[in-house]
Amino acid sequence: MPSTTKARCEDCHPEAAAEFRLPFAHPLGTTIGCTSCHAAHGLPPREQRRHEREEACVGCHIEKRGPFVFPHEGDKTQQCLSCHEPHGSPNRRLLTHVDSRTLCFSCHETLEALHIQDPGSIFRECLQCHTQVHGSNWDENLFR
Amino acid sequence: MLEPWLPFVAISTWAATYGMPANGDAPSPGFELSGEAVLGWRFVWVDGSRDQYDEDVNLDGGPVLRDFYVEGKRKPGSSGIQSFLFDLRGIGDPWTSGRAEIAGSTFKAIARYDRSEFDGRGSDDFHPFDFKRELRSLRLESVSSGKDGVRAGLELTDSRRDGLSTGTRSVNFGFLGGGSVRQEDKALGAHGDLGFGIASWDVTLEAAVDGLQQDDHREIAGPSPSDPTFTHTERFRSDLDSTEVSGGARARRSFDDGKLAADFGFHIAELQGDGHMHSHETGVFSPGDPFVRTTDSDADLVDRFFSADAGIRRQVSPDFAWRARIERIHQSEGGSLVIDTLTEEPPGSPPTELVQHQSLHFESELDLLELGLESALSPCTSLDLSVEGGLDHEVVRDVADGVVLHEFDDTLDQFGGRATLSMETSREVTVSVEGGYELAPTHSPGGQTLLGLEDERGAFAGARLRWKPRTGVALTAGVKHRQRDIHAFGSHYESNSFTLSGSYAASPRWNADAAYSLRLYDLAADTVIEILDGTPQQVPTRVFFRGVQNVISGSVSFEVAPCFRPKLGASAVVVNGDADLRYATLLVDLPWKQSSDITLGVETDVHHFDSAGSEFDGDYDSMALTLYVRTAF
Repeated sequence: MPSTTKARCEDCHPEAAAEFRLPFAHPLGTTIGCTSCHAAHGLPPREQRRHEREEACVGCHIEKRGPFVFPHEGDKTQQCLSCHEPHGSPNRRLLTHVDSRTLCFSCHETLEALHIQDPGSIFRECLQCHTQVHGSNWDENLFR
Repeated sequence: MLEPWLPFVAISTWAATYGMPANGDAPSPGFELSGEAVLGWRFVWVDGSRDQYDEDVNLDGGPVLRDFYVEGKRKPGSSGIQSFLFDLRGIGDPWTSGRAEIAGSTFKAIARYDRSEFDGRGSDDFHPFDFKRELRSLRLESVSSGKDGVRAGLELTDSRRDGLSTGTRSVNFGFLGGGSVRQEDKALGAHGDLGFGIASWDVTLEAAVDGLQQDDHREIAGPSPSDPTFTHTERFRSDLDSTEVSGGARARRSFDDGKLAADFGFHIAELQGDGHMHSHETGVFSPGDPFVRTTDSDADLVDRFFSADAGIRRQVSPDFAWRARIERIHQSEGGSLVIDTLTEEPPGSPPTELVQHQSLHFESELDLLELGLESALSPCTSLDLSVEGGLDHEVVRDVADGVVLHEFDDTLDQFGGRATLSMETSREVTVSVEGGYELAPTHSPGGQTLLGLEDERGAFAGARLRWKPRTGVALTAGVKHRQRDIHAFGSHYESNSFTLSGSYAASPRWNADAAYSLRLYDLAADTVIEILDGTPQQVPTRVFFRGVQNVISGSVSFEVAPCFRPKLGASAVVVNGDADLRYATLLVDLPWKQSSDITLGVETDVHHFDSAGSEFDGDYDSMALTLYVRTAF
């Protein structure tokens, strides 16, 4: 059955269509479409933003929904979009930065003194220790 | 376990059984059937990094069912099932979806199935991980034809995610690698809605129950960072069960012949979670100082959410309307953790027990007011303006063993607004200009716990011109500027984009479209560089991340002959700056119509990825060639 939803959205949102052509992008037109995350007509702007930030992502990525005793909130207004480009990105995992180091560094600009005890850990691979970067129930440092 | 195809079989059986008239009924008018099936065989060649190809494209060779679609519509003159639909796509692809639907004059049933697989083994600094997701849902609807009739719906959902990754573990300021991590998540949900009319109000009630079950198993072993001659091991297992109950109601009504519309409603939710963790670890604190450690943890979570709002919209004249809305949101999130650790040092000695208690509580009360106006300034010009503002009182309390680690209790303001001005300067040209501003508090990233709140300011502005000289021909150009300042991070983000797109479909024999997008982005953040040689020093500085993205794409379809209409699509991406890469795709589809029902075709899908010598390589060239047959009935 032909799907025309994507083509209709592209007509007025060519910049969004371009993001889906980046090498790391959500597979539009397969199991998801524009209306998987956006209400085409229905929601007021503020409600639409809340839906995109707090509900659209975890509808599929159920493991990121939480709850977590120790959540990694991102910044308050952007939620998942603090670290990820929702449509497509030149960076793997749809990240807003080229790697995890620069991404973590964009917020955690001053490292805690503990890291000085292992100089090699500074600006190296943050996720080797902070493995549960989206949130943890067992460790406030998101180690596990 | 619910088999993925069960809802489809159930609905199809139902349609076949109850959709047909019983013996003795009037002669069946039957269904008008239509449909399509596209079957093929795919051949794949990959030169270069297969891992990166799998992560990006992930098409394998072998049989594929691209689409199988059947729709039946009952001929006029009979009750019962009026239509049914069955659509299945992507068998042989990493993404599969299916939909089955039956509809009568007063009801509708929709079953859906989605599956996706991801192989994340590309070259980067993240753990390799694979996962498979499945989502099944079944929705039953009662449809009323009358305006004030009762509408009811019930949707059951079943989501699963099965993930396998290579794990690491922080140990004594170093880390172990190479472990296996298995994470399984299961979510079940039941959502109901009921709509009806009462005293000229249109009322909708909603209620839902959602359950989430998470399991995490890890086995990690490797040379201890404290003494590489010793093998550090850990067996870790955790589970978490949570249940969320939510509900809400909304009522809408219009007065004065539709010139005044009012609505009000509320939403309430409570989530409770209960988790357990068990870990058994062997290692060394320092050379010659081995230990065995067993940790058991219990976690409890309670989250609550309540919001209530009311709004009106008044159409003052055909050219002018205003709207207003007030809203109150109250949410609280609480988590507590008890950690019981037994340590044998050295192994076999009487264990030492340590019990720790941690709790984290967050509470927010937000009052919002939103105002807007919609005005037709002239027959060709319209303006839409909205502003909103509010006060947010937040309380944060982080306690460990009775000691308050972090605390926050304050009220912050937040507001935002946006305006859109659209002008139709002629029958062919439309120009729109829009802008917006937003201010909101942002949590300071001083620790994993919530320490403080500072301002985040965001703004955007854009303009778009659309030229449509005649039917089927359009050209659109747009510019957009976005910026964001996060005081808590000392960061400033800016992006500028320009897009140009055009389409041509004026002739039935051929159509074409093309688009170009340029995006420039800059991020700058304050930071402190730690200098560790000699006497440790901290030097304040500012870092920058910059990027330029060029994306150009186009497609063309041309009818060479009535039975042969090839399609060609291509895109090229050049990224410089923070990331450097070149990426190109080419898609050539050659369908050759054999008859009105049968089409044979060849589709070629080419990908080229060049990381331009960056740290994370994974260059590859790939081609997927699919021979297919499309049959319509």
